This record gives sequence, structure tokens and C-alpha cells, in this order.
Amino acid sequence: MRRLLTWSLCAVAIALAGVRPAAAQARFAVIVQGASGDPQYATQHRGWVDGLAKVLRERLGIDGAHLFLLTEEARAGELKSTAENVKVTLAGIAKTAKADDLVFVMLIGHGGGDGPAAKFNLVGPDLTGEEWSALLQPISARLAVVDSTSLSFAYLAGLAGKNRVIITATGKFGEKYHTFFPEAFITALTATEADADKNGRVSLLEAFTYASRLVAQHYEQVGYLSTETAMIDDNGDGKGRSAAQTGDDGPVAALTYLDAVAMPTSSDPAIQALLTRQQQLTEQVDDLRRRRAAMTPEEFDRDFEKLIIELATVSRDVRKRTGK
Amino acid sequence: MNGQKIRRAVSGLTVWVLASAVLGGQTAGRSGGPPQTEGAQIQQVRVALGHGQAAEARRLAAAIPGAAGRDFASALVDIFEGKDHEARPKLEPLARVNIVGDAALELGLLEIRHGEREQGWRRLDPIAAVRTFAGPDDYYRLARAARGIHEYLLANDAYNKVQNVARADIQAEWGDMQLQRHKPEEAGPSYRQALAADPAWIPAMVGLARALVDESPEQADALMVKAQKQAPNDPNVWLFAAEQQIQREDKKGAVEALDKLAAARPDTVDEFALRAVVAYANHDAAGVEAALAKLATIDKRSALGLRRLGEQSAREYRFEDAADFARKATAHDPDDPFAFFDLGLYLMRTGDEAGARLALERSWKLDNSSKATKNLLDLLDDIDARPNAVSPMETITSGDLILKFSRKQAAVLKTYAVPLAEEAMKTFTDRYQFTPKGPILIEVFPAHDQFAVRTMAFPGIVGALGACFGQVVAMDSPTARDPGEFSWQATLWHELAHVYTLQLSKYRVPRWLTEGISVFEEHRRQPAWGRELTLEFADTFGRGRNFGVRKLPDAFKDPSKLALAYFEASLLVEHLVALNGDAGLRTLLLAYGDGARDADAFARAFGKSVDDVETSFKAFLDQRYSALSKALADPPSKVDPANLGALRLRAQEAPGNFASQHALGVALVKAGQLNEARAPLERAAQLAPEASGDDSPHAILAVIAEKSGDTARARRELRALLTHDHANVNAARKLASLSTDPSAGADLDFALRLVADLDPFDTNVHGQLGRRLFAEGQYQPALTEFRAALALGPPNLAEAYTDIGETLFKLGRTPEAKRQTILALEQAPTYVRAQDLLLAILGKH
Repeated sequence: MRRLLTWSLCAVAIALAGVRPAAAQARFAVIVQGASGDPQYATQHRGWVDGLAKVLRERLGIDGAHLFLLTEEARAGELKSTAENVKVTLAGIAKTAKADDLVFVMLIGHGGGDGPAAKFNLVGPDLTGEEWSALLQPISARLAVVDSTSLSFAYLAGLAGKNRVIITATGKFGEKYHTFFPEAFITALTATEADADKNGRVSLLEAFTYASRLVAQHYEQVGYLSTETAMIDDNGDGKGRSAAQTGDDGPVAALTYLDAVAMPTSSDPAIQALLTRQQQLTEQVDDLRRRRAAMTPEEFDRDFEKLIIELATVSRDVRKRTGK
Repeated sequence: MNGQKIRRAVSGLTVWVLASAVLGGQTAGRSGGPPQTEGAQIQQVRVALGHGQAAEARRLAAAIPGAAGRDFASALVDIFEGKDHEARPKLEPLARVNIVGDAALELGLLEIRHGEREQGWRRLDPIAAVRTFAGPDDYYRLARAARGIHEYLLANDAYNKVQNVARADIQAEWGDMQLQRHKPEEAGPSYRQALAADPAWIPAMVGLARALVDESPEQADALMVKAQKQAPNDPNVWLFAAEQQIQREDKKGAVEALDKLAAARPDTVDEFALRAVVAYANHDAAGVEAALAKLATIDKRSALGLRRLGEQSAREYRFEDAADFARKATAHDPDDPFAFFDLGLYLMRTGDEAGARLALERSWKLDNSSKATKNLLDLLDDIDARPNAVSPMETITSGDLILKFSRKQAAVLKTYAVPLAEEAMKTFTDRYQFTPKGPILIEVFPAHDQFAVRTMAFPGIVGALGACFGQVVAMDSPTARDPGEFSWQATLWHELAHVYTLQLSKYRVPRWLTEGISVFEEHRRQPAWGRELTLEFADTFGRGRNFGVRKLPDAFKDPSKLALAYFEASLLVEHLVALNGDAGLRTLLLAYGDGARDADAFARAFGKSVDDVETSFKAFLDQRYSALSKALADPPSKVDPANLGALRLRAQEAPGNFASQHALGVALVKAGQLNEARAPLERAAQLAPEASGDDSPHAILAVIAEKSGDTARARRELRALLTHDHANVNAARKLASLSTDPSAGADLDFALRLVADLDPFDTNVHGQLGRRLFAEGQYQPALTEFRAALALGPPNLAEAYTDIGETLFKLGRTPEAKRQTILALEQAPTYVRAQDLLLAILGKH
């Protein structure tokens, strides 16, 4: 038991070691709108695509050249969401994106088929789970895939892997009804309330957690039993967990952001020293939080309090000196 | 003996059909030509007995040609008439000839009735082991034998095999067994089936009356009138009549009924058990002992007398005494599962849940087919949070209060319930100058059926929200019913008032008084509480159908009058307080505690006779309700609700009639004439401001105002509605949604407070309310709200912890504030607000 725990902690540490300041990352985003099958869904799905594209571009600062829209009715600058276009797009990104970059893919539409063989409905022939996996395989960058459709659960195990965050709107093979998750997730990406750690940014884990909450509230309000349970996997085992569950999945997603924030700097050496110290303390606090499971509560409390008081003091001094 | 019992089932076994039936042919209630067989002749005797015609049965028995049949039939009549000593010698030789026959069955049951239990069980055991069945009689015989040896599941299996047989005797006895096993809802259909087979079957009439007596006393009374008319000397009729008179506290009537029972069937344990109860109710200890001694001469093993005394004590809310009697019953008859069940039930009511579990587990060991016992044991598993608990509970102690909530709800409920319960205890202790015996156990159940089981051992009692047993309060949590259906806080307040009235009066307070005080105390705590039936009462009063002082106690015995009885009792208590203050009320409770009757108690408390109070109470009601009742009178004419012209005319002619104004307003709204609808609705609202619900004048006026964009007016109307309609959570939510304007702060505060009170599991309200209270400097209430918000899983934990930390800091609780703030920073290390708060707490400004 103890050995297993040690291994697990090491695995997390290795995974996190790959995280680096976002400012140096290139970020790619692919939105795929599948076949809607119904004018009502066509309108709704297109609305989600446009909403997400706007958020990615305007709020999260994704470079327009790195934002790929594959849609049911392609407009200027977009591609039709066929299997072929998906292949071309992902192959292109695989060539461009580097290991330290981030590739975000979100599927919007319907799932089809049964159980593990369920597929995302493209325009024209669909891609199997294995095909999607093969297309994503060459991408060395951190990969975040959100399959927001019904029957998406099949993709959780199919796409999971090292350095990947996989989110699906459904958590069982039987969850086959149209989902509310896409709307909730897009809302969550920029919701102040979603920012659980109050650092001014919404990580993928925070977006997932908040979106899951919105989904639950949605079903409560409409008075129906929920027919979707979103899942997240970022440890690569393909099992995942829901927002209500605890488990190993989450640490990578917690440090994965779709936006980029440049490290603040100052020409004033005194302020720069404070900023550097602030960053060091923040990293020490994060490190301490990650090591918590291996510490006694007393040890954690003692070390945390010491660090957090200093961090609070330094942060206050930074604000005083910079006026921010 | 019981340890050797093996669960046996009829179903699944091969059924061998015998070529010749022992007692075949005629069925109970079936009429026809002359009987052809001895079995049929005997069945005719049974039918005569089932009709309460003992003499006719005797005549039929004597006419049976065969000696064996004649003796057996004669013994049946003997048994019916309580002459077991004469029946026994007739049955014994027959039982020796056929050890699994009807004579053996009757003899075995007779022996058990007389305390010869081992002998009786030995005799019944082979009958219950028979698995060859030629017809319904064989199943019936097996069922009766199985019941006699406490093999209830086996008996039930046998009855199930003949469930569609149109035999009054079989179906009525099946009903009796269901009733004995606390299943009136299952007994009722059996009795009805019996009466369908034979409408004159007295045991079915009596049984159905017993099954219906709580739910529908009028139907029960009607059945008894019919039974008495048909069979004025039937002992079953008089036994039930005696039980009823005892329930109705008519001791004289009970004795008369028992005398008639004794005349029809002398020397039964039933009779002397009830005579003991009457003596107990008369505080006649010697009479109790005498009755029990007499009972022991009939069946020295029977604990029925002690069990009945326990029931009577429980009826009088003397649960300690009830448990003592039940405990004696278990000692007297350690094989009686019902005695152990009773003990468990009563101990739960005294708050001794550990003792209750022991007793109930013993009962379950003796009879593992009892649904009631299982219900209570399952509930205790929840209460004790055992590993197999379905809905484990959490215990919170505060002084003399022990509160138990569902584990899932405890974090939220305790933030509200504990301070409210503490406030209630302080209020009542001061008001009644009395400190009740503690600890006081308060159990709040998330599902109504759990509350019902805690109270009565079975799901149901849908009309009840809470119960108090003196030191134990059980009640519905807010989730037990739909939001807006009730105020759980009013229920808690109500039940805790009972703690005082019951204990102060030594559990002798009349029901009208304890309920009246509890409802009145609700009203004192919050003016809208306990006044929900104002319009219904005013209407009843206007029609001269209210109860008054003298008739109020009887109204509490009629479920159909109960709601208004509660209301009028609270008004009477209000009037009594007006007469001589709280001191008078306290004196009244003490007087009842001393055993005083109404006249003496009223004289001591108010210096007035009951008639004087009746008169002054009438004047009080006149003064308060005459105008309202006049407004609620029937409209002067009937008008088509769609005929606006006629409605307008009627409203003009009857400006003081609520229904006329309201109907016009509603019709105008339906017709889309919103502006025109205002005037009649305003008039209706003036006439009966207490009107509640979505169709009330204030509610409709709020809708009209909102539609016309007059949000301020809509808020005013909703506030007016909620002044009386205090549990209308939807109206409160609406008011909150209309109060976003900064100038509507007071309305927002009011609405949020009400939503939080009524539906504390609303995830959005607490943080919002907490922030408003904090801004107003109300830090302690704000803390309550913030804690509730945290317990419900807020969208942002860091903010929730910081809210609490900030409030604790304002309250000067620095160490706690620091801890909460650090918890916030664990969630969000760079959260500026929490960082600054931490520095402020540490004095590092």
C-alpha cells in the first residue's frame, strides 16, 4: 500500500514537472461541429461554436491563426467537418505544435452508436475511436480534448494518455441524450465563479468542475433526472472521475489553462525582487499543496501558514508599490 | 419453545388433494337447502355464531344427529359463550381421534387461552405441519393453528392460498391477524371481502370498525351501530365497544360495555385486561391489581393485562409508565413478541433508544415476520448510524438538547435548528417558570416516512409534521415535504412547547390545551405561524359551526375536525392568556397536573367557571372574526364565472363580499383587463388580507403589477401576501427576484430570510443573505448564513471560507477567523481578499 502511494505521488510529480509558464506556450484550438441532424440542433450547435470561438479568441487570447473551425456549414475561413478535414487539420497541428505547447480540441454535436463503439457524428463518414486516437498520437504538445456530446464516454478511455486532459460530457455508455454540457463548459471558461483558486484564471479542472455544477443545476431547474455525468481523465488510465468524485485525476488539468498570462516584470529592482519572491513563494505553496498527502496535518499546517503569511505580505507589498 | 420453531411455508409444497373432505360443503354465509353432511351442519353452527346468534347456534348444534358432530358444534357454542370448561370435555375425545382435526385445533387454542401453552402448542404443531389440503377449510385450519403458535408467515401463506375464497369466517380471521400485527390497511380489505361474502358477519363488522377507527371514526361508528343492532349480545361487539369507550375516556361507558361482554362471554383475559385499564384510568391501584389477579386465574401466562395498561399509559402520554408496564409484560411472558415490541416502542418515546433496540431485537428474535419491528430496527440503524444504515444520522449536543439529523443534512440544519431550539427552550423556561426534565432529544428526519415510523412504527400519518413525547421530539425535515408546504421551524417551535405543557402538567394536560398552547406559541414567535387557517375558521365561525370551549375536546377526536380544532384551541389559549396572563395558563397546567377536572382547573386558573369562559370566549371570537366571517359569506347570487357583466353587477351590489370581488377580479384578469381587475382585487384584499396562495388577491395583484412594469407595487403586494402566507416559498423567491434594485434592500432581506428559513437547502440563498447581513453589521446571523452556504457546497470554497473568516474576525473570534482564512488560502493561495484578511487578523496592516 505504501509503495503504491509512493509510486502514485512520483507519477504526479513527473507529470507536473512538464508544466512551464504559459507565456512561452503556443496554443492551438480546434472546434469540430458535427452533423446536427435537426435544424434546431444546427442552430444551437452553431451558436456554441461561435460562442466558444469568440471566447477563445477574445477572452483567452488564442491566435486566430491557431484557431481551426470545422463546421457543419462551413463559412469563410472554416472547413467542413468531414473526417478528411479533421485528419488534415490535426496532421497540420501535429507538425507545428511542440512538446511544450497546448492543443485544445472540442467536439460539439451528437454521439452515435452503442457502448464502446460509440462515435462522434461528423459530416459524412465518422471516425472510429481508434482513428481519432491515431490522429492525435503524433501531437507531442499537451493535449486537451473535450468531447461534449452524448455517448462521449467511449472517448474517455479511447483517447486518454500521458500529458493529456480528456473531458467527456457523459460518464456511462447509456447516457445517450443530447447534452447541456457544451453550454455549461463554454460558460465556465470565463466565469468568475469558476475560478476556485481565485488566481484570476480558469484552469481546465476549474472549468470542468464548474460546468458539472451548472449541468446539475440545469437538470434540477427543469425538473428532470440528469442524463449526463461529465468525466475527466488526466492521469492517462482512461477511467476518469466525475466532479463529485475524488481520485487521482485533476492535477494536470488544474495547471492547464487556455489563456496565457505573461509573468509580470518591473524595471524597478526592488519591485522585481518582490515579484520574483512572490513567484517563488507561489510555486513553493503549490509544491507544498501537492506534497500534502505525504505529510502529517500538523506539518502541513505549520509549513503552509509560514509560506502563506509571507506570500500574503509580499503580494500586499507588490500591490502597494505597483498600484495593482 | 420458540427457539425450536422453524419457518415453514405452505407455498412451494406439493398439495395433495384428499379424496374425502373432513368438513366440506357449506360455506359461511351461503344459504341453500337442508344440510347434507355433518360438516355442513357444523358450518351452519359457525355461521349462526358469526351472526351473533348464540341461541340459534345452540339449537342447530343440538339437532346434529351424530354424537361427534353434535359435541363438536356444541363446544363451538360453548367457546363463543365463554364456557371453555364445558367445551373442553367435549373436545378432548374428538381431538384424540383426529389429532389434526378441527376439535384438536379448538382444544389447542382453548388450552393456550388458559395458560396451558406448552400443551396447546404441542397440540397445534401437528396441525400446522399438515401439507395435504382438500379445500379452504384445510388451509384455514392450518392458518389458525399457525397463528396460535406464532408462525405468522406460515399462517399468512395459508391465508393467501384462500384469499379469493368467498368465506366470511376465513377472511375475517385473516383480517384479525393483520390487525393484531398492526396492519389495518391490509386488514380492511380482508374484512370487506368477508362482508361481501356475508354482510351479516359480526366479526368482520367489528374488525372493519377497528381497522377504520383512526382513519374514519364515522364509518367505524356506523358499523358498530349496525353490529349492535343485529347482534346485541355478541361479545365481540362489546369488547370493541369497551375499547372505544376507553379511548374516548368514557370510563362509565367502558364498564357498561365490559359488563355486557361479561354477560355474553364471561371470564376472558380481554375483559379483565380492560377492567384493569379502567381502574388505572380511575387511579384505582387496588382495582388494577384485582383485575390482573382475576386475569391470572384465567391465563396465568398472559401479559395482555400489562400490555393493555402500557397502551393506556401511552395514550395518556405517560411513556415512562408505559415502558414500565411493557417491561413487566416481557418479564411475565418472555415469549410474547408483542410485549417486547411495545417495550421497544415506548422506550423510543422516552428517548432510551439503546434500551429500545434491545427490546426490539428480542421481539424480532421471537417473531421475525413483524414489519413494525423491522421498521423500528431499521430506523434505529439510521439513528445510530450503523454500517448498514440507509440514511445515517448525525448527533449534535447543545446543553440539554440532543439533536439528530440526517448526516447529509446536519451541516445545514444544525446552523438553524440548534439556535432556534435553544431560543425556544429559553423562552418557554422563562414563560412557564419551569425547567423540563432532560435531555430533550430532537430527531429531524429527511423523509416523512422515517418520521412516521419513529412515531407510529409504520409509514403514513401524512397529516402530521411533528410529534412530541415529552422528552422526545420527532419531526419532518424541510426535505420531507415539498418546499413551501410547511415551516419546519414553526413545527420545531410547536413541538418544543409540548415538552413544557406535557411535563409541567405531569402529562395530564388535555389535548386541546397542549395543542392550543403549542399553536399559540407558534403565533407568539412569528405572527403568521399558527394562523394559516384564519379564513377557514372565520368561515366556520360565521356559519356557527365552531366548537366553543365545551365541545373542543371532542373535536380533537374527529380527524375531519382536527385542523380547525387546533386553530380554535389556539384562539382559546390566546383568550385564556388575555384573561389571566401566562400565570393563569401555568396555573391551569399545574391544576391538570394535580388531577383537577375542567371546572376546578378553570376556577383555579382564572377564577371563572367553564361556562363563564365559554361566554367570554364567544365574545372574543365575535369581536375578532365577525367582520371577516361576514365578508366570507356566500355571495348573494350565483353567477356564471365568465359573465363579466353579471359579475360586475354582483360586485357592485355586494361591495363587502369577498367572493364577489375576488371572482370579478379573477374574471377580468382572464379576460386580459388587468387594469380593471385591480379595483375588485384590492377590495377583496382589504376584506380578507389573510387570503393565501397563487389565486389570492395579493398574489394576483403582484402578477398584474409585474406585467405592467410596476416592480415596486409587485413587491408591496408580495410582501402583503407573505405577511400571512408565510410558507409560500415561491412568492418569497419571486420577491427576491424583483428586489435587485438597491432601493429594494429591505424587501430583498425579507425575501432571502424567508427562503432560507423555508428551504434551507436552496444552494443560492445563504451566501447572498449572509453578505447582506454582513453589510448591515449583523455578524452573528451572517455567520449562520455563511456556514449554511459552506455546508451546501458553494461554487467557490475560497470565497465561502473567506466570508466566514471575515465574519468571525468582526465577531472578535480571531483564532477561528485565522483558521477559516487559511482554509480559504489553501484553496486559493493568491486570493487577494483572503490574503489581506489574514494579514489583518495577524495585525500586519
